[in-house]
Amino acid sequence: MDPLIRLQEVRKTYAMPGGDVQALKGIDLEFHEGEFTSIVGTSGSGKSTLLYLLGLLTEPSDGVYWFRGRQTDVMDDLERSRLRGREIGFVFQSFHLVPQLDIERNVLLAARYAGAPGNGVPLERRATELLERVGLSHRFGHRPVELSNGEMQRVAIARALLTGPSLILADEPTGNLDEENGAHVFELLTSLSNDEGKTVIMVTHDMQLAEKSRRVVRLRNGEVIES
Amino acid sequence: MKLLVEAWQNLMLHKTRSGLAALGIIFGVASVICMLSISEVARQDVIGRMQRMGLNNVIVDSVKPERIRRRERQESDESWSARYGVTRTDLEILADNVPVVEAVVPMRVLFKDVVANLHVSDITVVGTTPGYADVMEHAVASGRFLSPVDGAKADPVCVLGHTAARELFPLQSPLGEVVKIGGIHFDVVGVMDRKGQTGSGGLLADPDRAAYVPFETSFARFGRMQVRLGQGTQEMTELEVNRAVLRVASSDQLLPVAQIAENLLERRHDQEDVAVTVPFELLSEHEKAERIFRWVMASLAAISLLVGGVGIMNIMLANMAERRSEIGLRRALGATRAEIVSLFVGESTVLCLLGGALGMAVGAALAQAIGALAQWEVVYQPLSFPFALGVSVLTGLAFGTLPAVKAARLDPVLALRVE
Repeated sequence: MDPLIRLQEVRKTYAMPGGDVQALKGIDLEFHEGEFTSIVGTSGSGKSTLLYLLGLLTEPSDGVYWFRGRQTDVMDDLERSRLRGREIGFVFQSFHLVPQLDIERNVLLAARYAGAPGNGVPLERRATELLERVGLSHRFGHRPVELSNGEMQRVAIARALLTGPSLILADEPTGNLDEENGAHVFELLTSLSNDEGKTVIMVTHDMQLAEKSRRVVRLRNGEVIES
Repeated sequence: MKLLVEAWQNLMLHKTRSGLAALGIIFGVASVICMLSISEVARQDVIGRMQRMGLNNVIVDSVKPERIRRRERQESDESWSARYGVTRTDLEILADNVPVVEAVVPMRVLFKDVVANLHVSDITVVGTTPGYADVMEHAVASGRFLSPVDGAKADPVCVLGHTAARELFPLQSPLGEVVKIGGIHFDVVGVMDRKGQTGSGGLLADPDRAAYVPFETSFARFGRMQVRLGQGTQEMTELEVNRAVLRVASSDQLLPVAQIAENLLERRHDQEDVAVTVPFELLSEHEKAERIFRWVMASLAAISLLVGGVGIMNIMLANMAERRSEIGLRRALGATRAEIVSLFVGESTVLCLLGGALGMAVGAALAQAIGALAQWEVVYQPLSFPFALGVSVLTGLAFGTLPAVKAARLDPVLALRVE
């Protein structure tokens, strides 16, 4: 089966005042549909750079990135942005919810640029269903400031799922959560992979969580040392 | 439209910040509306005054020579007499010798008390001919104007100006009533329509506050001399005509007619006691000054809006810095750079549009308040509203673009690292 994602000799170099810094040094990786992968490594190993590169938020300095067989480095900003909006859902460590909007509107924000997923379900209903699914039906109409960190992260997961993406990228999703909430969020992400066949790639420092995932990619100084 | 609605919703999420950002535009547009209104009031007032003097007329005014002015200022115990100004003979010569003059109308001001119903008024008494109403385009509201028969018989009849009639007869129609002018009874035969102030200064500036008597009657009943009594002295001035109005057939002929009249009078007068003016020429001069004034106003308005625009830009830049995380999120959710530009430009445009609309209301209210204080009728330039709104929207577009482009160029990865 063709992989959802294929990286070939991908490098990422940042121009810094003291000279160029190579964040990724020739990465060759494949990610398949339905796979749950944890990316681990020390600070500065290139984990987040790899995640944002997979999320089409930054481009490789060299090498090729295929998403569902399409070469992404030849796409223009519109094509990349639309692919990102429809196919990729993000979950961040610091949630990135808009404080002035209630949780339903925060979830609906995901469809602002990507549009509706095309399954015929009205967006508002889908947002409600997703919030119910992450266990927040009792929080409808609440704003992020009224929620706990665990609840905010669950809103962020609901938002990531609104457009029906095939890839979920999570950057330290449990980093700001206590153990119990962290476990709950991890379970949610796992179920997305197991029950819905979504590809989940999670960057984490938590080795215990990483060990629970189906696959672990270990980075050191911008290179894959275990895959 | 969808973009503007979204921009509005985003602005409403930060009401205070949006309000502060719009303040510059509100006051900028308000000052534009207010300034344009004030300049329009001034313009219409001046044009109205000129027009009421008659744009096809040449005005010949008697001017008191400096020699007589000095004499009047001196404290003297001697009686004296002086003679100056336009004479009846001058009028005949002008009528006979200046071509294309359709009519010559004299106006003689008499310093007489006017009394009616025991009310003494200091309204101006003007001796003139029947041609006055036509040449000065001053219509009769009721009754009739002076007729040739009145003059031929030197009848004591008068026609009251609009204000004079209300002042002397506040509760009744003046027609058929009697007023005493300089102690002589005059029958009121007509009341004039309201005309408004004319551009000329002095006694003839307000034609509504005047009583018109036949020119010939003014001489037959009051003599040729105007007498001013001092302490045991008399100052007698002989001034036959304060003003002569020459109606010219076409405006092309105004300047040649004025030149001929000036030459003729200069030859007949050995002192500088006559001045010839052409209201049309004054109007042209005024319009030139008006154009300069408008440029000054437009520059001031542009500076106001520039200041407002810079304010918008600063607030939008601060806004952008504050919303870095949101910009990163929107990019992660699939926004293109162009959509981020549209978002910010849309917000600044909506701010300026609303600021412009509010500014128009504030400007109109300010103009009304100034009008009420200065007791003038407020006039708005019809195009000033769409102009101000258009300029404020353009200001939003122009000054919103830089912050918008900066926002779109933000690296989403860095933006998302902002907590």
